[in-house]
Parts: sequence; structure tokens; C-alpha cells
Amino acid sequence: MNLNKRALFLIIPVVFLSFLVASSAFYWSLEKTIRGLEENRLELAITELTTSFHQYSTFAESYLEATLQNTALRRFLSSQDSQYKQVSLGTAITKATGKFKHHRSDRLSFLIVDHINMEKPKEQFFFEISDDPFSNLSSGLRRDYESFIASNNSRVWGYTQEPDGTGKITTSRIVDRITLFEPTDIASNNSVLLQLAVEPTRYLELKKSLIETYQADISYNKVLPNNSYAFRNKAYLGPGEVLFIDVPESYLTERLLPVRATIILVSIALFFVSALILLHLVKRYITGPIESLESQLSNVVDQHQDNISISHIGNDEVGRLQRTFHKLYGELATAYKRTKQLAERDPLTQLHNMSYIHEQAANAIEEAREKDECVALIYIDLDNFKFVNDKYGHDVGDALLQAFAARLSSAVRSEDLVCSKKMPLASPGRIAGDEFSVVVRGIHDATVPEQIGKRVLSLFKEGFHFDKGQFPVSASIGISMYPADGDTLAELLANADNAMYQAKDNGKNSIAFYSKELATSMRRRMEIEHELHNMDTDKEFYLVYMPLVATKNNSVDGFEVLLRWNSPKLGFVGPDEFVPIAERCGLFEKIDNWVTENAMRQYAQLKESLGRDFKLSINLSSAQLNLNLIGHRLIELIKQHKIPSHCIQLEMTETLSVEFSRQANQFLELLREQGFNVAIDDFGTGHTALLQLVEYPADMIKFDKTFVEKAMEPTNRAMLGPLVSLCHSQGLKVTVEGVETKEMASYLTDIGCDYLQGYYFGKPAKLEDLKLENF
Amino acid sequence: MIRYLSWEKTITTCTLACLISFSFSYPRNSLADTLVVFNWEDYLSDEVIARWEKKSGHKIKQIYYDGNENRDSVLVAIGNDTTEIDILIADETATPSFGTIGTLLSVNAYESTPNIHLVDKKWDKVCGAYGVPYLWGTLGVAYRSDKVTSAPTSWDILFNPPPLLSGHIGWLDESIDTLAPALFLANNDINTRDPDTLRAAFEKTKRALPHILTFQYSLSYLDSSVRQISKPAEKELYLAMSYSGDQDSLNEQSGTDLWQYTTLDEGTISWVDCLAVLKNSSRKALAFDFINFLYQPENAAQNSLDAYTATPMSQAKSLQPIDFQNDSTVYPGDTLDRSQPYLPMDNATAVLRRRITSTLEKLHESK
Repeated sequence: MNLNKRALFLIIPVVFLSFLVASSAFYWSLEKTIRGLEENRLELAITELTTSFHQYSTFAESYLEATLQNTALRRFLSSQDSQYKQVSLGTAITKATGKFKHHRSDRLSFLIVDHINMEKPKEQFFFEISDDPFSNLSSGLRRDYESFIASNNSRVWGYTQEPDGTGKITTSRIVDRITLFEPTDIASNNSVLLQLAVEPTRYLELKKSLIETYQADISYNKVLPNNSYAFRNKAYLGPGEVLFIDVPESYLTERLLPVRATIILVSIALFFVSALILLHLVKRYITGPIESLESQLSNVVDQHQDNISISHIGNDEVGRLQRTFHKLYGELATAYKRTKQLAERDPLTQLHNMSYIHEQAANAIEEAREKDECVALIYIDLDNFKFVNDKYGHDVGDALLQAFAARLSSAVRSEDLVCSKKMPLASPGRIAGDEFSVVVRGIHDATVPEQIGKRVLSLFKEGFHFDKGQFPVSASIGISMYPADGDTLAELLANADNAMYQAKDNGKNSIAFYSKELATSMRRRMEIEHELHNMDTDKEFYLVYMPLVATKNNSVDGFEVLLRWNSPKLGFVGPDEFVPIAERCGLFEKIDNWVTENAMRQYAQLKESLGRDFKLSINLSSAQLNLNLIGHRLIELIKQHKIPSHCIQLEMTETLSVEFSRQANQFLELLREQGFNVAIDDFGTGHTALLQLVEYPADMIKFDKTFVEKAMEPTNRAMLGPLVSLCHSQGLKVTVEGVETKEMASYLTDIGCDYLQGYYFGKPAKLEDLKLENF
Repeated sequence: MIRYLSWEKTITTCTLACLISFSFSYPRNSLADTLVVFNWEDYLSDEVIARWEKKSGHKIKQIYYDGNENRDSVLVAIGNDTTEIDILIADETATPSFGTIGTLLSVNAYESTPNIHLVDKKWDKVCGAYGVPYLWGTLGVAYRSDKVTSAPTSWDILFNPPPLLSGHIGWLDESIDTLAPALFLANNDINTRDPDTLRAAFEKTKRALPHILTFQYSLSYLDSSVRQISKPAEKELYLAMSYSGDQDSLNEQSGTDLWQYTTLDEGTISWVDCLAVLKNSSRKALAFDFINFLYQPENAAQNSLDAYTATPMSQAKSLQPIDFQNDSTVYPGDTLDRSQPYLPMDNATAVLRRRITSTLEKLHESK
């Protein structure tokens, strides 16, 4: 139950009860008031009724009095009977009614009775003013005057009820026909009775409406009627005439019914209005702020807003609660941010760390699956970073990583990306060491990953330059795509990694997309790697020797020892294939050692077969790793096998030479001081300037087969001679590899090359297969 | 007969008291020269008065009434008392009645009035022993010829008037006249004493009340309307129960020639007014002198002409212009065959008829 509902359940009964009590009390008081009012109203009506009645009786008196003053009456009573006096009296009576217009009477009659002292009095004149000119004296009026005569009074007032429910106020006199005064002797012959009867029309109407209004019982009893009634009132109409009006309970009930209904309706309406207002106020000022706080908290939890808003809040409990929450959440958020940072970011570069890359990539793949989009995983490996690290120290290496991370972040900013419909989202991360990744989601344009890759590559135009200097670092980039290249991050990562190696193989600072072919070669590479790790070196490796012919005497001056691998599982594996693999997976040192040891060991045997000392040329791939260690081992070995150091020539690749640090140079100098020969191998495959090369501490330079083939072409031939001369001038002997014809051999001899090497002189062969007699 | 009262208020409110105070407030001698006539207005030729005043050197003063009831009230009030009224002109029923109760002087007691015997013999009995035939006429309707295009022929026009006339009808308030139209239509005796016949006539007349504009005598009504200057159109009188000769006064009143008079097919009342001398008149000799002068044929002719009412004296008629003599509204021919005279009533009927007219007026007022 939420607070609003609770407020509803708390407020409604209380308000309802209050209204019930209040409206009941109001009703009871109102009932009392209405009863009082009704009693007053009845009182008023009775007063009006009584007044009206008395007005009529006064009117009757006055009228009779006025008639007594009328000459027509005097004439009528005093003169002989004639129709003129009768009509005249009628006219006089008619005219007189006109003077009493305020006392409307539908029936007014005037009667003159003569011979009242006799047994049968004579109704001498009867004139009635009504709607019926043919009406006669009513039985009621006749009884009235008869009883009047019997009463022996000279004047009487009365109310005569007619059988039809109407009534008349009668006022009667007995007068002397001559004097029109009260007769001294009522029984005299001269006494005549005058009766004026007035129907009190207004009074009758009032009475009728009173009865209708109150449904009242009206009685003229002189004793109290025995009715049940709500309240009673009485009108004193005259001596002995009392009108009782009993208002029944049902009248009051009827009056109270609409009042009750109104009170109930108004109470209900007010109850609802009050309840609504109360609920609104509670909602507005109590539950509302709490709800708002709760909703804000929800929003904050759901990260729809940063923190609870504390503007426009009061200093009440909710406001304080809000402030406390704000403070609490602020602290929590800071802690959370820090934790999240730690959890998601690589501390060094502030890029996403591997675990977050995982999470992010998984989300991206899930999203792409739903939206039918592509995700690209760009795998970046910094070439030669280790070199930088070793040479300049970890501080510089870390700084380089940081600088690269910053540039990577800005380089992959999605807003800079060309895109067709939808902005792809590229987020960079650091996998480990010098390996970085960029997860690109929302890809609709297949060229986007490559664009990003190129952008990254462009950071390494001439090595990597940042505030600590310029460094010979480049990037190899492998790209794999969901869904083409894998469904999981692990697959994509492995495939991008493979593609990256492909890129490295392609000559570094390049981009490679993962492909099926790449996959095959990678499998092969992995097989080779596996075998390299698990092989029985002595059984599977063997050495072959390639003669090195000196041109000065056209005799074999030495041999370049080459490694061959015959794997029981893979068959013959060429050195071009396995050596880079071995280098990459850290086996080259082991291999170098094996080659060096075996070659040294076989030296004596070969010397014996050859019958003289010779130059043994050994390729050193691992030299770049641990120069000092190699140096010491070499010195140990020549001592062990009693080989003069000048008979050992150490070949290093051109690329490595160029990349040699000053430390390496010192090492080479050291080796040369010990008597070793140093040769720069594979000249012509890289792009190193010759002038730059010759400054290195080396004894010999070996022109690569491909370089020579190119140089032997007629157009280039002219440069070969001066090149050899240049080397010579720097104290470098020149060896040319890949000599396959006699013509080539003689030409090279002619231009001054010191040594030749190639199939023309003999293919590389095992020691036992060497046909030493030819040399 | 021109029954016009110019100071009707005076007569209705001042009746007996006025007349009595009148008699006491003026010394006898100063009045000896003035003859007082109680009459309808315009019912005595000014020309004739002037001639007599010139001849005798005395004056004539008239007191007017506008209805029989008024007249009767005054006369009843006077009773047998001494009065300033010398000559009464009243209808043929009132004259014998008042004669009987002693208000009037018997014609036999008239001295030196030979001319009254010039009245045609056939009228001899009409006024009885207490009066001399004065002028005679009929009862019909006066109507405005611009509103009623063809002369009405039936009393029914009063009960079922065309819509235009409804609410514009004048009715007479007289004990006989009021019920006469209903009784004519029912082919009954206008003087009937039968209560049932009267009740039927009363009920029928009651049904005509919505069409009735007024119970006031047409001339009085028109006069009061002239005096009030603007009577609204709905209060205009188009048709009224009238006595022959009234149309002349109505035209005179309204300054037009629109008013016409006609009798109606179901019958008419032929009435005769009588001239009588009051028994208690103190100027009887002067009255006789005037009467004798009035009944000289040339004066009678002039009086009849000015009142636009027929004279009962052939000798006088023959002196009148031929056009007048031939005017059928003045001297009707055939109509008289269907005429009924006013007859004396018994007391009960008189009171009943008084109650009926009162009731009708009361009902009309309350509408």
C-alpha cells in the first residue's frame, strides 16, 4: 500500500465520521428550527385568518350600521309597500357594497323580517348580492334569525355554517321601524328584524388553503378535539367560536424530507470535496515530495540523472531527507565512480581494461545480433615497443603508452568517422602491454574499421613522436568482424590477433583483415609453434652448410650455417616459415643456442674434413634480446671448441642493425674486439640507406639475393660496382648471396665482390653430405 | 328620446340629500320664478324653453337623470315630502306607479291645460291618471356604420357578434331592457314574471358578457370617453342597445354622421314617456302654464323635432318637416306590429330583476 492509499484510508473514515456527526447535528438543529418556523408560520396564518374573520365581522357590523342610516331603508320601513322602495333598497344595498371593496364577499344578503312578535314572522325583504340572482334565503340564515328572535335579544352576532361547507357571518338587529333604534319592547308590533349575512370569502379561502397546506384537521368545537397532531393552534373567532387547527406529523415529515435530502446530498458533496482537497493537500505537501524523492532516487539508481535535485526544497523533514540523500548519494556516486573507474579502466592509460572490453564487446555483439549490425574488433600491437622499453626505460615506455592511448582515443572519436547512416561507436581499450583494441559497434559501412585502422596507422608516420621524443615504434593492426569472423569476443580477439600477426608479417605498420586464408596460415603457424615447443630438437633440427667462396682465389673461405627442421609430424618445414614463428614465441634464443652449439661442435669435424680453418657464419636472430648473454655464450663456446674467434662470423639482419641501439653497437664492438666478425645480412630487403649502414660496426655486408638480382638488371648494373667500392672504402667486405650462374659469379668477381654464395657453388648440405672435394 | 345626463355624478352621489338641502337653502320667494323639471338631458327643446321663458318671464331649470333606477331612487327618497321638483318626465310604468303612491298629481287636477287634450286619443290610457303622453319611441340598436356595414336585423348580433364587434358592445342597465334581447330571441314576453323564463334569459345574457364593453348608457359612455379625450381603441363603442333618437345625440356627441339606428326583427319595445306634475310641487300654476304652452301643436312639433323623437300629437306631427315625418327611425311603421309595451311589475319581480341586473353588472365588472 503506498502512502497515498494509506492517506486515503486514514482520511476518508475520519472525514466521513466528522461529516456524519456534523450533518446529523445540523439536521437536528434544523429540524427544531423548522418546527419552530412552521409553528410561527401557522401562528401567522392563524393571525391572518382571525384578522380576516374579524374584518368581515366588523364589516358586517359597519355595513348594517350604514344600511340603518340609509334613507332607502327608512323609507322602506316607514312607507306603504311599493316596488319602488324595494328596488330602491336593493339599489342602496348594491351601492353600499361598492364602498366596501376591500371586503370581497361572494355572497352578501340583507333580510328584513316583520311581524316578529307573531307566530309566523314575515320575511318582508330579501336581497342578496351574489352570482345567483335567483337564490333564496338559506335554511341556515332562517334558523339563525329564528333562534335570534327566540333569544329575546335585540342584537346578535354569529357565524352560520351552511351545509355546502361555506359559512356566513351574520349580524342581526331588532329595531323600531320608525326610530330605527333598539325597541323598548321587542315584542312590539313596530319591531322589525334586520339580518345582514356576509360570506367571509377571503376568510374561507384562507381557511381552505390552510387546510390544504397543513392537511390539518379543523374543528369549531368549543371543547378540545381529541386528535393526534404535531402541533396545534387555535383561532378565537368570536365568543364561543374557537377554530382548532391540528397539524399532523406527516406535514412536518413532508417538509423535512427535502431538507434531509438536501443535507445528505450537500454533506456527501462536501465530504467528497473535503476528502479530495485533503488528499490533494496530503499529496501535494506530504506524499508528493516523498514520491518525487523516490522517483528521483529511482532515476538516480537507473542513472537517468546524476543526483537528487536539491533546489526548491523546503526545510521540512522531506527536504532534509532529500538533502541527506543527496549528500549520501553524492558520496556513493563518487565512490562508485572511482570503483567503476578502477574496474573498467586501465590505470595507466585510462582506456578500458580487458575485463571491460570483454563486457563491452559482449554487449556490442548482443546488440548487433538484435539489430543485424556488425561489430569490428581492431587489434593494435605496437611494434618495437619492447625495444623502447628496454632502451629508454619503463618510464618512457609508460609515457609512450599513455601518449598513444590519448591519441588513439581522439583518433577513433566516432564523430570524425565517415559514416553513411548511423554513427558507429568506437571505444578504445588496452588489452595488455603494448596491445590495444578498438571495439567498433553499430557498423553499417564496412569501410569504417579500415578507416579507423588507417587513422591509427597515421599516428606512426615516422615512428612515434611525443613530448619525450621520437621513437621507432609502429603499429600492426588486425581486424576481425562480427558476425563474419566469430560470434564471441574470444574468437574475434583471437582472429584479430592473428590478423595482427599477419600485418606484422606483412612488414609492420600495416593493417590486415582476418580471412579464411589467414586462418589456415595461422593454424599452420600454431602447429609449427606447438611443434617448436614440444620437439626433440636434436632429432628434428639439423644443420646444413652453404659454401662461402672468396673471389680472390675462387676458393671456399667458409660456410654459412643454416638451420633445417624435419618434423615427424609436419614434414620438412622451411626456416622462412618457422624462424619468424620461433622469434615471435620466444624460442629463437633456444634455437640460436642450439644452432650455435651444434655449429661450433661440428666445426672441428668440418675443419678436419676441409683440412684447414674456415669462416663459420652463424645467423643470430636472438641477438636483439639479450646481447650480453649471447656474447658471453659465444666466447664460452669458442673457448670450449677451441675455435679462433676470427673464424666465427655473426650475421645480423639489416633491419635489426638499423634498430640497434647504442648499447647494441657497443656490444658489437665488443664482439669485434674479441675477434668475431660481424656481418650485416639481407642487405637490400629493407630500406636502410647504405650510408647509414656503413657507419655500423660491421666487417661485412651481405647483399641479398633479391637485391642483387635487381641490381644485375642492365639498367641498374652500373650502380653495383660503386656500391661495392663504397663498402670497401668503409672497410666492409662484400658478400653476394644467391649466385646461380657462372656468368653472374664472374661479373660479381669483376666488380670486386669479396665473397660469393649460391647454388652455383653448392646448395646447402648436411655436414656428411658436403662434397668437400669440390672446394 | 335623449337620455343624457351631463352631471350624472351629481345625481348619483347627491340624490336626496342634495335635493333636500336644495329646498332648505333657497328662500321660497327667490325660486318662485323658476320651474324645475326632472328629466333626461336634451329631452326638452331649448327653443321651446326659450319661447316660454320669453312669453311668461319665468325660468326653467332642469335636473337630469340617466337611468330609471336613479330617477326612482330620487323619487322614492322624496316620497310625499315637499319638493322643489315641479315636473317629472318618466316612462309609462313609473308614472302610474309613482302616481299611485302619491308622488304625482292626478291629471284631473290640472288647471287650464286644454292643449293636453290635443294628444291623439289612442295614447289616452298609456300614462294613466297621473301623466300626459310626452314623446314616444322604440328599442333597437345604434351602430357605427363604418364598423357595421349592413344594418343588423337580429338581436342575435348582441350574443354572437362578428369578431370585430366583440368587446365593443354597449348594453342597457334597465330592469326590462337588460333582459329584452334574450327574451325577444326566445320569443318571450319582455315583461315576464316567470322565474324560469327569467333565469333562462339571465343565463343567456350571461353568455353575452364577454362581448359587452359597458353597461353604461351609450350617450354617457361616449360623453365620458370624449371627456377622457383618448379612449383606447379596444374601449371604443361600435354597437349599443339604444332608444330611437339616440343616434342623433351620438352623432352630435362624436361630431360625425357614423351612428345609425335600427329596430330588430324579433321585436321592439314601444315606449311612451309621460309628463307629470309632482303632487307636492309649490309651483303648480306655473307648471300648468308651461305644460299648456308645451302642448301647443307648434311647440310640441318643435320639441319632438329637437329631441328627434316622435310626438303623440298628429296635429304637431303634421307641422314637422316631411323628411322627419317619414323617418322610420322616428315614426316606425310595421315595426310597431312586433312591438311590446312596458307593463307594470309586481314587487317580487321588480326586486328579482334588480338583482339580475346587479348580478350581470357585477359579473361583468369582475371579468
